[in-house]
Amino acid sequence: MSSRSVSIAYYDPFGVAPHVIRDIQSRLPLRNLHWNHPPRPLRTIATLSVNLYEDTLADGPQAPQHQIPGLLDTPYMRIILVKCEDNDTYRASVRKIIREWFTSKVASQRDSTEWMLFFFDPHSATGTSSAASSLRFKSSVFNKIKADFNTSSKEDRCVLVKMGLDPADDQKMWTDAMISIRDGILDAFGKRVQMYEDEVKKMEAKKTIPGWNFATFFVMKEGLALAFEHVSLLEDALIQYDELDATFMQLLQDNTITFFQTVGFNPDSTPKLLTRDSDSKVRHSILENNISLFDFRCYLFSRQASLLLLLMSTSTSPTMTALRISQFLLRTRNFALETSKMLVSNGKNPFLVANWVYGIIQEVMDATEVQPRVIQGGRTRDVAEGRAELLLLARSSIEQLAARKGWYADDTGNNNFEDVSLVKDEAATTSKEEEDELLDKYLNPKLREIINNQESFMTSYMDLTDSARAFYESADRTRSVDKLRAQMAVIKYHRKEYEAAVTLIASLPQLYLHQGWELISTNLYVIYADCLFNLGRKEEYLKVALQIIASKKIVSKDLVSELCLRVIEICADERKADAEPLSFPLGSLFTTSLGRKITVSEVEEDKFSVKLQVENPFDVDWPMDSISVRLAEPAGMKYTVLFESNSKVLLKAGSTSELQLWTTHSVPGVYEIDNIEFKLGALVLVKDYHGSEAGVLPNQRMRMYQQPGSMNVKLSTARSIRLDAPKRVTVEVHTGWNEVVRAKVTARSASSGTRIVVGDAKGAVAAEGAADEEEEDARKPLEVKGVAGAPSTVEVGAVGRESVVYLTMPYVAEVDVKELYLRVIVEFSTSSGESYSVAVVRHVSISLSLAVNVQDIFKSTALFSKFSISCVGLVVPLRVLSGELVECADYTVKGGRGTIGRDYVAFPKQPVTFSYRIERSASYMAPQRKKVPPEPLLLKIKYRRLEDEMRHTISELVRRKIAEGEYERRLSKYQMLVELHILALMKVDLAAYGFLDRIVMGPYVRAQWESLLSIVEEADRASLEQILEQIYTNLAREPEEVLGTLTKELVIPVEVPTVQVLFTLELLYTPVALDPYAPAEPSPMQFVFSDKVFYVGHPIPITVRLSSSRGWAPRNIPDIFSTSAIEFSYDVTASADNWLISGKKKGHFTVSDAVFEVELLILPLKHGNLLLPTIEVRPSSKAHESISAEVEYKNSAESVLVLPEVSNVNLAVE
Amino acid sequence: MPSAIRLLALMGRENNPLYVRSFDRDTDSDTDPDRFNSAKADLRYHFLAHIALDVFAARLPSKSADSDFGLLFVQDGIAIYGWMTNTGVKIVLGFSSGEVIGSEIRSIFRAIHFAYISLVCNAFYSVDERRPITSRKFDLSVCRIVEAWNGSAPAPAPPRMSTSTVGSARAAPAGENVTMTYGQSRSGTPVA
Repeated sequence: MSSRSVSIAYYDPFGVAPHVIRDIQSRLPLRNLHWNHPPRPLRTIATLSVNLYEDTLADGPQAPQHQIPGLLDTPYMRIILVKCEDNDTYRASVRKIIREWFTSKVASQRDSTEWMLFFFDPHSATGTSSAASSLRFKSSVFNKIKADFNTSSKEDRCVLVKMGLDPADDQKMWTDAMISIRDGILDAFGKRVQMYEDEVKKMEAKKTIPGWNFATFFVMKEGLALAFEHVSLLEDALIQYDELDATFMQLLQDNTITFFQTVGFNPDSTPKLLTRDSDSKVRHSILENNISLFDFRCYLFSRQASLLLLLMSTSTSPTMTALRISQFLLRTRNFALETSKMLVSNGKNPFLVANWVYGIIQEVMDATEVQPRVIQGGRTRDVAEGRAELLLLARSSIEQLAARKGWYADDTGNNNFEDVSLVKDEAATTSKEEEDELLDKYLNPKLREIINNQESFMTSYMDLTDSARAFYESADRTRSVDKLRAQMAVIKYHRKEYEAAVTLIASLPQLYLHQGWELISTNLYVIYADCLFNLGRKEEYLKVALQIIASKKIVSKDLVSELCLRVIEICADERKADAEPLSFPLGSLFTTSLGRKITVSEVEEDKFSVKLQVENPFDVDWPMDSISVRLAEPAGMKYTVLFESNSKVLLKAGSTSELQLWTTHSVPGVYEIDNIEFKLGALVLVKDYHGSEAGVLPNQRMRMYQQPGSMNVKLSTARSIRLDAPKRVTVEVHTGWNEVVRAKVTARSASSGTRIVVGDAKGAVAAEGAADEEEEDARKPLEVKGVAGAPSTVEVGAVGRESVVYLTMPYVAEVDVKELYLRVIVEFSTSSGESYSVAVVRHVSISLSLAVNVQDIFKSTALFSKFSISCVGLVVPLRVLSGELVECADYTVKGGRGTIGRDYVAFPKQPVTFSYRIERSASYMAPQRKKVPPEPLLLKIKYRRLEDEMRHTISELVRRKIAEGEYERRLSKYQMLVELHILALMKVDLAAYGFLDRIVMGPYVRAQWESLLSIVEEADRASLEQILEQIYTNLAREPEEVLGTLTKELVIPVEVPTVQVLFTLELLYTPVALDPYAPAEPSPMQFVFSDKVFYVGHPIPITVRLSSSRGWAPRNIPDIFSTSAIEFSYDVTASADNWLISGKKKGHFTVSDAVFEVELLILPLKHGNLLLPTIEVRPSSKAHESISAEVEYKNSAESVLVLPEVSNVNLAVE
Repeated sequence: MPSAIRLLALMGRENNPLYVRSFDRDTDSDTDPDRFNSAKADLRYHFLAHIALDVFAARLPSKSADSDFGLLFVQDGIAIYGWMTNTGVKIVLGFSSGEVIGSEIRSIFRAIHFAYISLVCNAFYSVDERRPITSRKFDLSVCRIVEAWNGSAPAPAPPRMSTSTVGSARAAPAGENVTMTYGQSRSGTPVA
């Protein structure tokens, strides 16, 4: 009997089956059954096969009946076929027969059974005439039957089968009949389910009572499951088994299962799991409490399995199929694991258990093999995953069996033998020989083959691993794939198949490391490294080995030491070969710490050093070819300085080495660490402070400073500047203590808009301190060679110590800049054969910092010039030491009184003024000189900027104080540092200095010096501070001798101005009625106004005298007045309130040597000191307006005393 | 009968290991209070914890709000159970395979999650989700949780674990070129 069909038994006492059954049979199986049985949701059974068989009334020999309904396989429906001609027959026999059938077959059954009655009427359609009566009669028999047996009015269990109907009616009749059958079956099924469930519930409620019979419960529950299975409700059936399983596990866990006498597991009869039939024998043995635990579990699982397999093959979509398969696989896994655990812990031979597990997996894999091809869609992953897991389980089995023979696949940690080892002691009852025998007897043939020898074991182990990996790959379980790949690699490695191992493993360690799984990655790296080493791939080996060494926490010390030795050896070998450099982070191997100071050399040389502490944590000495530290300026020009070890360095094992690294390049400035590099052969260990790790590494600022006596560079401009001469700057190279053999000087402009022409440099050399302003002659010329291809570089030869090389070169400033910045690099080698370099940025002020204004006043005989020297801007007062106007052949100069011998300070808006009287020399108009333009006068100004003075004062003071007494050499190296710092701090009142001749700096504030003091060695700090405090309190101006070197001389060529014509105007008092007694020759005093008194209303006769002179005419322009008559006009004007003017107050005149006179009367209108009228002179015609002319009006601003008319006083005499 | 916890692992949101620890009891040093020294977290458990991430990733899309991921997989004789917090931290417990684990392990997961929260909430602990946890207090509280659980189980004494450092690559004799020495001693395999 198929498990998925229901039975219908028919009873045919009248032999009508041939007419009816065939029709029914042809309409089977039943389709689209809808079973609605709350609270379950509506279930649909697509097709239900029906087993239709003939039943006899007699019971006959039947299988032993149980009281348990679940075991009964009774039909869901019984049908009786009836034929009856008339009522009498019915009453006499037929009714009895039906009743008997009903009692014995339907009513007496425990399992709910539905029944139906088919009344067959053979004549219903033949002979229409007699048909009516017979039909009526027949119907009455049928109706009688209906009345007798239909128990309720709702359900009509009686069907009238008519013959010879037309097809449509026939069809309708049978459809109705089938619906009745279908409903009947569902009804019966529902009732049975209800009943079983009630029973089950009743039993389950008693679960906690001791001595509860699980077996009965089991059978009942299974009955329910079977019922479901019969009607193809496989899911519901499975649920029943699952619940059964769960209850069982619960009991197992609670340890309340009492009914198993034996554990079972007879290797002899290890049954096929999936093909075993649901033999009722097992159920019986369950009922009789006869079953072993193992058999029971196997039975349960096989029932679930077969349901799942059925579901799998009947599911409607590939996705569902896949889901079923994956469920099945996972169940198999759990079952195999749990059962084997159970068996082993019950003392069964673990190897036989493993054998059994392997068998099961083989079986399940075979059963599900075909499916993946069917499956499309999302669930493939689950299937692949399940298969992979089972394969791994199978692998464990063979591993276990192999372990027995002492074969191991690898050591990556899949040891699942511990369970075995646990029971070993208890189960050691069987001797090895017996075990051998046992295994020999029962071993799965395939397994036997695998375990035959080690090689076949390894092969199948690897095969299994590979196929599990393939499954995981299609399941998208990348991490599992990686793990298996790693495992494979390890196996290959142990088999010395290094190539294969490397291919497998290569990308893995990085992968794990990237995800943060360091332990795994390091373990894999070790294998990888060893493979590479064995393959002789040294460069790759180096990388990997270093990676391992770097993760020293995880790796054992011995291994690290060994790797270190290998790495050192390989690097040493590669030193000879030209191997590609390999860079590796330094920080992951060694701990380094750089001292916070750059130290200047203690002896007289231009060397600097830093201290580097290196901690070698390894148990191995590391030799290094070189160690270097590069410092870089964090901002600005970003110059770098490289400090290097002088020779090879050995880093002692497990200790901290202190190294001193040197550089001969002095580039003063503030630095940060750029990188630290260790070199060993091709290996370069780098700690990069500005690379990717930069954010992590704490940096430090360090200051590099020169000490006095070292090679130094200064800039200067010429002491004396002529405004009209090309501009030059001098680079002074002070050799200090260096005996220079040869030197290269490179100078570049560091400020925009300026350019220096190094190629045109003029060289000179002098001893230090010898060349002062006056002693430029002390400089000896020095040969300067250009360097091909380097326009900003020049070369000089040997220069002794304590010398200064002056390189004077022109520069071009395209924009107005105040300061010229030059970056000067001096590379030189000394007599000791060492090469050094100094790179500094220096600046020099190139702005004139003073302004000169000239005011000229023309007189007919002389020119008066007033020179005002003022400072530029608001904050740079000047000290003007002297001003001198130097006369020349064309002019004589007088004046300039007070300009020599004492100095004046020109503050903003307070210029220093010098005046001179200039006359043309006699030879000015000499014919031979007519053609040349007149020579200019030279104004020479000697001055100093107060700021320079102050700087110098402070510098000198610092130098003196530091050089003083006890500190001497010890502190002198800080001199330049202190100088720079104090000058940077200097923010002083220049005006105060100008007036007081003292620098007012305020008190010494330690905070301002903190940054500098931190560079100074601790021992020196206190003494240095003492000095600083002294400096702050004592800041008198240095004497002239010291400051004299700062004096600049500016030479300004002064053109003497010219005018083509100079008019001299004069008002004369000319009384009309001259005193007859007056002398004939009137005295000049007669004509002046100053001693006269005038009265309001009394006219004053005056004469305007106008003379022209060409004494200041330029000599190179022809005199136009001699060739043509040029008219000018005059205009006498006065304030109309004060004066009335009478006469020709406006007029014209021609320029000539003759004096032109006009007589006028002026009448004062007010009393008081009245200003005389003014006179303007201008060319009459516009054409002559270009003629340069000056007017000298002698009475300018002269006033006359006008009194009221007191002479007309009326006196009244009474 | 609950079975003993053999592995506890915490993994961060970025799938990096935060804490991997084996609780296989070292029979020789039972008296040593530090016998669960994390240095002994061995390679196998690291691998298992790592693989578990696959399953988390695969199940996450169809996961409801619940944290419990249940049994993730069984491999190498260890059954791995998973739990994911709402911040994406994954907690994994490992038991001997074949043992029946009920839902009662949820309480353990919750306890460990709580221990982790306490750790992270500590204002003086600088949380770096990318670095393994190094906190003595966390160690202790986790140990307490696991020991309380394991203590209630008659823990089978698994074979002792040797240290998990990676051994010498050259020291082994040519025949059995053993590179990794961790895991179990071989005495566990039946020979009789």
